[in-house]
Amino acid sequence: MNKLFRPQTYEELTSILESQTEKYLYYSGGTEVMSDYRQGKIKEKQWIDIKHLPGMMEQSPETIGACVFLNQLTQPAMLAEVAQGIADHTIRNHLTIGGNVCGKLPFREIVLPLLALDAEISIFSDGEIIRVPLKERFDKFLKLQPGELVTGFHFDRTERPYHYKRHTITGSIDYPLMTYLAVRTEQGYFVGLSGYGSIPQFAWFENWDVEEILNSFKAVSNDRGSADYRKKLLEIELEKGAPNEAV
Amino acid sequence: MEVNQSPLGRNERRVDADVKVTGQAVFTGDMYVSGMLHTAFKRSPHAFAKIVRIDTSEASKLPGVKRIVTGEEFPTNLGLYMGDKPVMARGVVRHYGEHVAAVIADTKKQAEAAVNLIKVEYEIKKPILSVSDALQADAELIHPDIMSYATIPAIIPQEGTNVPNLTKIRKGDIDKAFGEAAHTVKSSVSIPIGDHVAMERRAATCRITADGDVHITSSTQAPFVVKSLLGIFFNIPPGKIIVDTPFVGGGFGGKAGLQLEGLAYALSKSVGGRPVMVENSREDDMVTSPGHMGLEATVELAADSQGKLLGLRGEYNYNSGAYADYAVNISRAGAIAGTGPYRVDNVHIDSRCVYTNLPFSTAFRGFGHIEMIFAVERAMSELANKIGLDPYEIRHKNAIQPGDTTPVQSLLGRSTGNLRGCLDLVKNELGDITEVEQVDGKIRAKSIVSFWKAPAMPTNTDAGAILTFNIDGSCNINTGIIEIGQGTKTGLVQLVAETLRVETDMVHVEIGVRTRTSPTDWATAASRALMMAGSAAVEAAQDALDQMYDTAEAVLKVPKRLLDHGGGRIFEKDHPDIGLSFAEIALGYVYPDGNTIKGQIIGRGRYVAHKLTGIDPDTGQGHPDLEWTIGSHGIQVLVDPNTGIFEIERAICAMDVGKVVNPDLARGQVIGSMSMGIGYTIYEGFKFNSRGQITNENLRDHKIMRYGQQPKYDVFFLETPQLDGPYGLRGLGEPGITGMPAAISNALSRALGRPIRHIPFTPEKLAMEDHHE
Repeated sequence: MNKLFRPQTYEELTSILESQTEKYLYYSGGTEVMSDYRQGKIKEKQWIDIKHLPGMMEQSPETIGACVFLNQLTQPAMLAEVAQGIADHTIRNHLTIGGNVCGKLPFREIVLPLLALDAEISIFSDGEIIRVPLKERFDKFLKLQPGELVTGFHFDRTERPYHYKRHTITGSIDYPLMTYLAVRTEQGYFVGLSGYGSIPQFAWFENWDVEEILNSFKAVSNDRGSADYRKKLLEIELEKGAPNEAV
Repeated sequence: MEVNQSPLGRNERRVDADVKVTGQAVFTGDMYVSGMLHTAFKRSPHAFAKIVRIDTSEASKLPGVKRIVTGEEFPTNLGLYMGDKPVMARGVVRHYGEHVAAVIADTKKQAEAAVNLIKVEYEIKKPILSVSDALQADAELIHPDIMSYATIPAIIPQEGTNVPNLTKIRKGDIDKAFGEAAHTVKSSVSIPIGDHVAMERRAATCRITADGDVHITSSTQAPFVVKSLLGIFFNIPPGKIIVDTPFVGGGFGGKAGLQLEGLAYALSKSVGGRPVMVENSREDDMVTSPGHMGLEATVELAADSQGKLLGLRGEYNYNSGAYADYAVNISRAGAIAGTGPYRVDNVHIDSRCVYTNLPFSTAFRGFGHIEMIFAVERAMSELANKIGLDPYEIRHKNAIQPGDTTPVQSLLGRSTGNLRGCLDLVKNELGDITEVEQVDGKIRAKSIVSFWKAPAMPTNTDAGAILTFNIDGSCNINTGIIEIGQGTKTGLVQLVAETLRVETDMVHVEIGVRTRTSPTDWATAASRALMMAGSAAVEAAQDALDQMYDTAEAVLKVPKRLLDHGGGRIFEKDHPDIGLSFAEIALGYVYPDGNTIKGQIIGRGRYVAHKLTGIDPDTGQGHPDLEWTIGSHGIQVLVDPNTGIFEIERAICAMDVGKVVNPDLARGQVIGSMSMGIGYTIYEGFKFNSRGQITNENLRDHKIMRYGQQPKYDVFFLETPQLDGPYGLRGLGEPGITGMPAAISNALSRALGRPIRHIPFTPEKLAMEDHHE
């Protein structure tokens, strides 16, 4: 039988983790876990629901808790817009910002604005909560040690000029063929892509040199589309120019 | 708004609306009985492999497991028109997802856990993944025993090939037509196999009781087919088989024929007749149960200098996947209609059903016509371009008319729908079809196509209706028609109310079908339900009226010819205030002294298709086509030629349906068809890797149309009466899908200035000029 834990404090979580002898999983919005469970793909029998831990649902000027739902993200505009591009409205009522960053799906689109915003993340690690820049921990996916748990995100809500485009092969409710986010930063530009390769790709550029930016990313060919087509779409977006004007 | 007093032609509320929106409607998967056992299946991960060994020893030790069975236990083959499908794989798997073993256990979880412990050793073979590969002379035979399978006579398997059916149409002199032609074109198209994606997944239960009765409950469109085929393949007297069908949550052809019922019966039998539930998950439903066919087709057209069609040469190779079963007849239907709704005096068509190692297929809305019309209408547009004719003009000029003959040389009579009228309605909406507009870097373009569809069914296709009465004079309709969401039950109520001249609240309709008590009915398929069961229901209502007139004549002492009916009464024409209510005579008339005469009224009505024949195996000549629903589609698209991203802005359909019984429901059927056609054309279809494994067997990756993605729809109906249909109506459930791929293709092709021929039309195909199609 499966066992569901619902810790209310980090002390409680610590003692639950200490008592674990088998593999367990963290459960938040549940959109992936429930779907995988139905298909028999979840082997872990111990589930730990993290939504009730302190701060997980926090929405303050300093912190967005890891279990805040995508539909609740409103500021800055680029974060809200990227969030609204993911899945459909009903699903976004359950998809969490932490789940999108840490889940198994390769797209992790919400990582793009967070990186562009120089976000920091809080991680529950070894009984304490530490705070580190997201980009120090994010390389292809978020690097977490066993037992570590993302608890929140911290970033500046100031609006910045950005361009966002999400291409799919069907309607808007589909995984991205290419999600494109370009942001004006203090030193230059951030360009982030999801769906373009097998992992999110991103880089910072001093100048808006289409050729240079285009060549910094590697496109993949898969069921959704060819690398050539992705490259063409990226070029079309880059040719629209740098995100210099405030939206 | 005009108030329509007659029940016919009125927007009557659906009889199933309230229970569906409240979630009270009961479907097969809801129907548990105590002691019911559950099942899970080991599926093949390979597209083509020999089964070397199946080890169930570990699995059978798990708690709750009652039995584990493999295909070898069931030597029977199943199938509707061709019995080529084993109950579960025996010795060889022919497609990804095929069932190789079943676990029967107390709970679904236990059955699933046991499935994970079944070990199967395979010897993998190279799968055949396209029709063209399957037709190579040296292709491996997917069914080496093709000639030994049971088939109906209309199906003609080709020995030593992967072709379980070849239908030939030979009309006129094709070489002469091409020899004399001023213009010829040749065009090829393709469609991948895919899934119906009915909202309700297939399910069937079976229990065998001590009296030998076999009780099946199933999400089927064809309970009488289930009864008859189980009887034949498992040697059960048909009267001992009771098939119950509650609501069915969408069929689209995918629940016609035999589906999970044979499996449910075999599994129940293997555990001594205990109740067993077989229920597909969404993933199972997509790849272990059949989807829709694919197609590779080439059409050549010959025309004179004015664009009049002289000849059509068609090569329709339908991809049926690993089993042909029902699908053999789809390749036949595509041939019978193979010119589209045009007068073509010289025709040469070879239409094949072809085996490949992809998941197998069955009937799908449009039954071979959606595929064939795509091929024909793409060629028609290329011909119009070549001659410099307007796409409307060329279709108007060649439109089939009463007095013309179909590809199988059957003569079209007065019931033939008005194609020219339909084309005019679509053109009226769209204006100049050839107009191409530039809008902020995007291109707006339009198209117009024609379509037709005839049912492809047995020559003795039948329906029946029984009308019984209640003490208040209201009646109950019992037919063999399944409510699959199409609204036929509501239409039946309207037809009977019209005939009896009562309000619709005096007519009740039985939703479920039970083969032991419902009158026999071929199947709820081929857009035939309202036409055929409707005919039977009208006849039953007339029969009931005759009986009520008898009673009234006796009681009122006035000859029948001087009686009339209306408002739930039978009355004297001369003195309308003198009469009897239906309530007074429905269950026998009771005199004031208690004496009673006549007894209850039971109306009976029958329908059987008339004058149908098979077709000649060499020329196709015959009369298999009962009625044709004819119409036209128009599409308007807005394409960004750089990204290939496009929007279908408008979809228009004009169709000659003979008589509109319920305008809202009719419109809903047509819009539903068009929406499904858009999804089929631009989103759907299975994707697979080089090993033949399907990679999008879920609705995350196999997208279907959503509410928010719909274009503006316009639907127009013409009413050229179908003389053998009740109140002149003919079928309208399917034809609205059949022209959609062609219409979308033709609009996109016009926008981009090059032919778009290979479904699905993804943005990438449109953006990449050099895309390898």
